Amino acid sequence: MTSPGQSTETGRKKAPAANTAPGATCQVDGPIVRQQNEVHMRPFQWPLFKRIMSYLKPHWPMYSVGVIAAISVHGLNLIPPMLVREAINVNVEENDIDGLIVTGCLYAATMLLFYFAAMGVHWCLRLCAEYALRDMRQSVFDKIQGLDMATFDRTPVGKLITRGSSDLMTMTHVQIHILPEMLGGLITLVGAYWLMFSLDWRLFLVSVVASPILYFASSTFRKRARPAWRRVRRDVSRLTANVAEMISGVRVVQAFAREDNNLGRFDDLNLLFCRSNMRVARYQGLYLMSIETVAVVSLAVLLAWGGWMTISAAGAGGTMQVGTMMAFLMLAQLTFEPVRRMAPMYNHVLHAMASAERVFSLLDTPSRVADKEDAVDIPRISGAVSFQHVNFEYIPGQPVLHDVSFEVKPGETLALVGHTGCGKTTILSLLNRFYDVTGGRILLDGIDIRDVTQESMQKQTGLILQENFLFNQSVMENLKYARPDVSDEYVMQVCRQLGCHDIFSRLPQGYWSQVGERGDNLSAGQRQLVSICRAMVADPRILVMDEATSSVDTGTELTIQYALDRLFEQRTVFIVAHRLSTVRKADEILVMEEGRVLERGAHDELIRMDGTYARLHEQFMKVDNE
Amino acid sequence: MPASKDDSFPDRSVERNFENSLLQDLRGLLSFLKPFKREMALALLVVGSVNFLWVAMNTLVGKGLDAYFKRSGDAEEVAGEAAKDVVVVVDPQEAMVVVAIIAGGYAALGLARALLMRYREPVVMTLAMNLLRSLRIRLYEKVQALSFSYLDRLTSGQIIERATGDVNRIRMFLTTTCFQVFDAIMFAILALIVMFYFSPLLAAVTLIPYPFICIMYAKGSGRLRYHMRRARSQVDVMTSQLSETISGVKVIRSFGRHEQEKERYQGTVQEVLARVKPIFKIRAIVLNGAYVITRMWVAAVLIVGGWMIMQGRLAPGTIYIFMSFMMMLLMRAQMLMEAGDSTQEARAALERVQALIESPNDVEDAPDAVDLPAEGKGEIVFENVSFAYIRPPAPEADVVERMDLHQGRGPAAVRNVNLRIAPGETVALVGPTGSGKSTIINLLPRFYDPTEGRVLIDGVDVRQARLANLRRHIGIVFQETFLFRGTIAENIAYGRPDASSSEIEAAARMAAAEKFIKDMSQGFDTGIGERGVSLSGGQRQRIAIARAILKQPRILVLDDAMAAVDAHTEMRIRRSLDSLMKGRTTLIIAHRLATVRTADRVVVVRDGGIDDIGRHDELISQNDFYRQLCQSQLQQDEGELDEVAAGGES
Repeated sequence: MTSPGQSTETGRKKAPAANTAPGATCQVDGPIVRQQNEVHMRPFQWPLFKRIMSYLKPHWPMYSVGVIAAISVHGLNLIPPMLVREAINVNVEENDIDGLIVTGCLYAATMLLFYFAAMGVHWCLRLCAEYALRDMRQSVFDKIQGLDMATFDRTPVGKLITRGSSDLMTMTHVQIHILPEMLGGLITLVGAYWLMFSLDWRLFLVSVVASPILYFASSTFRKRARPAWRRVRRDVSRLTANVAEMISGVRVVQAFAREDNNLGRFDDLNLLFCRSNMRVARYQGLYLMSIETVAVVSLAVLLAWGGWMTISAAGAGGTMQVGTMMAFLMLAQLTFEPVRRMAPMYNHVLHAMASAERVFSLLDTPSRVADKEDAVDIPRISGAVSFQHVNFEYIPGQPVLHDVSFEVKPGETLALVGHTGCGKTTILSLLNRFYDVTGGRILLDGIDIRDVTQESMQKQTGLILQENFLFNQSVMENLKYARPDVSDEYVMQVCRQLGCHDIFSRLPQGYWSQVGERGDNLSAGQRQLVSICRAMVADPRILVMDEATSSVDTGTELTIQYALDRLFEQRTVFIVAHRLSTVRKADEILVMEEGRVLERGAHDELIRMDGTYARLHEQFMKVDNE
Repeated sequence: MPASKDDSFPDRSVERNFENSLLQDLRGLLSFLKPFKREMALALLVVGSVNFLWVAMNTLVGKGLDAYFKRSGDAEEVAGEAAKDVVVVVDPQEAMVVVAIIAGGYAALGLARALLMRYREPVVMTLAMNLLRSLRIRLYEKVQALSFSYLDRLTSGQIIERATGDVNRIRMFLTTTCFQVFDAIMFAILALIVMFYFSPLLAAVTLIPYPFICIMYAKGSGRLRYHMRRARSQVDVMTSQLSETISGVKVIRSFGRHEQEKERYQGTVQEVLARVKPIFKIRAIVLNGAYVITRMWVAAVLIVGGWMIMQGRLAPGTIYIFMSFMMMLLMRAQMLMEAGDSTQEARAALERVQALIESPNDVEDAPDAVDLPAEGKGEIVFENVSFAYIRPPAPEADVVERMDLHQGRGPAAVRNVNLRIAPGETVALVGPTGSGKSTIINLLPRFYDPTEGRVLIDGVDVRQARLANLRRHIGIVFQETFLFRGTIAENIAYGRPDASSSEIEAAARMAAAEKFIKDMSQGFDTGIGERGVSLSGGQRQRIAIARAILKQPRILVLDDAMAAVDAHTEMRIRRSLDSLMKGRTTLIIAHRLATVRTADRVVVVRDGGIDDIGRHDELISQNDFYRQLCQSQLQQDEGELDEVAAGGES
């Protein structure tokens, strides 16, 4: 009894909940749901297939053993019917008890061989698959790590996860099973038919007719049931999304007394889900019935004709013996299995094609930001930054930065100000070399950042992001992220310096508290503090920061301000500022609009200039005086 | 790390301890089927019949073979030794009848079975779906009714897992495992009857290996389960590591850590491989062994059977029956291997689901609950109210523990609050973070019940009011905005799905949201949520305010509801609220001085108690704590900072 819905449902385990950040508009679509928008099947393509199989190459000795073992399993299955025939027709007929025992021992010996062959399948073949899977997992991971940021911008997280997980599983399935299944099936079919033919060619003709019908029935129903399956998957994801949304918003549900209304909607979805599952079940019933009918009819014909020939002995070929008849029935049943399995196997191949296409197109994505061949490590820099006529576009033809030029002296703090989409964040990204400029150049201490290795350069630039991403480890491990080799004492020293030591040590397990998935165990303010201290431990020459907008309570806010002030000392800082206080403190302010630098200077100067900045500032102030 | 708990299983017997006995749990599980007795009976009938027909068909084949060859044997005897080359013709008429009976009977039984199989899947599915639906609805209903005390203790992931994973585990057990067990038992009984009927000796010989096979399967599957769990948890680790690398890519790059991440992932992947290996080993050696032993035993049956034929004690066709039954029994034993596993899972699921469904709700309608008086205007009275939260669960606590509210309460979050708010008043609650402002507010719509004292709205103790009625009269805007998937109009009309579009637009206008909504391509019909447009924090808050306004509540509660709205817009919203709420009550928790200043009264909350009540200008001059608060805690927008600082100094 297969159970539709089950596979998709249990597979999603924790996907939906993890993403539902409090306060966010419900984001329940985890990786699994997104996957639904992707193509499930693609036609067979030889180059793709070859490439899937190429992952087995390094493990070919083991794979060959596995394939041979699989073929042997199929071949060995052909022997028992013949031995049964021997025992009944010859040994028993001749009253030869010794002969019977010999036949029995042969039977047992065949099974012993079968044991080792099956062991070979379980061990060699499956292990090969795991090796190939490991290799693929690692190469996908490497690729993902090396992708340029533009690709990340375009691709939802869920899709990339699917590439590295379920897509690979689909491919592996075909990788190891296709050859043994096909060869083994072939052996079974050819062997069984040949034996049947040699036993009695007329009965052989009867049973050979069944195979194409079986295949046809199996593939037809599979095709027919496809839309029904799709509907089941869709309804499962809708149902889960509904539950997830209700749960995330349950406080609002209660506050607005919407329980009954919701329950009605949920039950509607439930009914839909039940109905689409029933549809699948009906197809399965039809399928089973047709398969069963074909098998029954062909065996009944065998029984009738075989029986007729035996009893009447009127046929030209002489009589048939009971052992032969038994062997025939057993062989005929053996042929059903490979035929029945062909259609699902074909399905798997189509699935694997779709997955392979996606995985390989990921693996083939060139990384636009790559180290030059002659790239050298950049020496420890003082922190002078210079943008020279920098142009940049994410999408060709839509420039985001126009001829941006400026210089920052070591140790200075530069605040970037302007409306959303003016190019502030792009400047930060370019400085980290998440993208390469499309025109002009960026120099650190006079060296073009494209001439040095990314790693050496990025080790000297620190980054604090708005969302303060933390890894699902302890606070301490997060703090040490950039420099895992420093001592705990050093880290605590740094935190003390930034005034955060008390806050971290007051956590349930102090510095060793787990931050949880996406840092859920910490408050927004605490997360900010961790990422500030993390940057301090990294001790970069240049700090790049996108100021957080999320509101934290004022006590923490003060600690954050203090920590930032300490962090900013002695290094070059680029900051996208959202608070007036931050802007005021900066040595220099860069006012941007539509990808251009409009104004530049210290706060007071800019106010005196009475330009864009002054107006921005005024807007802030005016509101409060109403 | 998601499943790290699983790593620490000390031994291979991973059977966990259950609260209830197996029998109690089985009874509990089966009780879910009670409403579906008819469906259940039908499903059992179909499954049983399919089995029965299979046994009948194969017995018929065996007997048919005998009938054929007895006939041909007779014919040969008649012919005698002398005339071996003479073809003996049996009466064709008689032969026809025998063949027709055997083959025809086989076909008839087979087709009947095929027809039943056509309905087996749908019949079992009907049962499964009915069961699933009723369980889900019960859970859904329960979760919607949980008080905040429970909701605080559960993560949404835990609840979702109950509603999907656990419910499905119970379904699988009841509609798959139970049927497999039924199927196996029934088949075994039928097969034993037939086998012992034909030859008790051969039947006894045939059955010899099965006890060993069952033991091997039982042992093997226990170990298999253990290793599979270990492998699965490592795969979880791997996936979350992958997802972390993707979401944290900027951090990884900015700290130049690819190499380390790569190594870490390689280690994880290698560990997956290492944990998968034992699974293959068990399959290859133990489970494969059990399978092969059965098939080897066929040789013994063949020898003993053949010997019996020679003795004239057995017809050859009977051997066919025995051999086919042997393979079927083996298949059943294999299936049962998973039954134990599935039972354990279902029991664990049952425990969790029951904890959720059967927990008493601490906030529900009193038996004699009444509606708030229709003419009420929103008078609020707190009478000596105290409240303490239930102690939070340990981080690793499972759902069963989390659903247990008898964990004792923590220190009082609200202490002896006495407060009367007249209808039409606008009151601002001010105090440091964690002083209990939100808690006080949450007692109004009975999100929690006070541990002491009582809260009255328009003279009715809220615990005596009908929940749905009470909450209809309170419009609340939470600190964290939650909007639902759907259009903007649907979201605004959330509390009153029947509201007209002009009402919706009016509410949006008052919340200063009309303009930005109308600027969108589809206006009020713009979809928000996952696939819709993304709104800024301020826009979302304004929609949430519109949603609360549309209810036309007697009492409007704004719990730090405008933090993401700029000060200018907040002023506009406040002005329109003033006219809307004329004669009704507004409670505000705000972090902006400008907002606090315009309230009729300011309640200063400190350590869960009320420190002072008064107008802003009175308090600023009289209350030091409040003045300090204004300086340090309230979020000032630049200009005001100087003013307060000056006020404090002068």
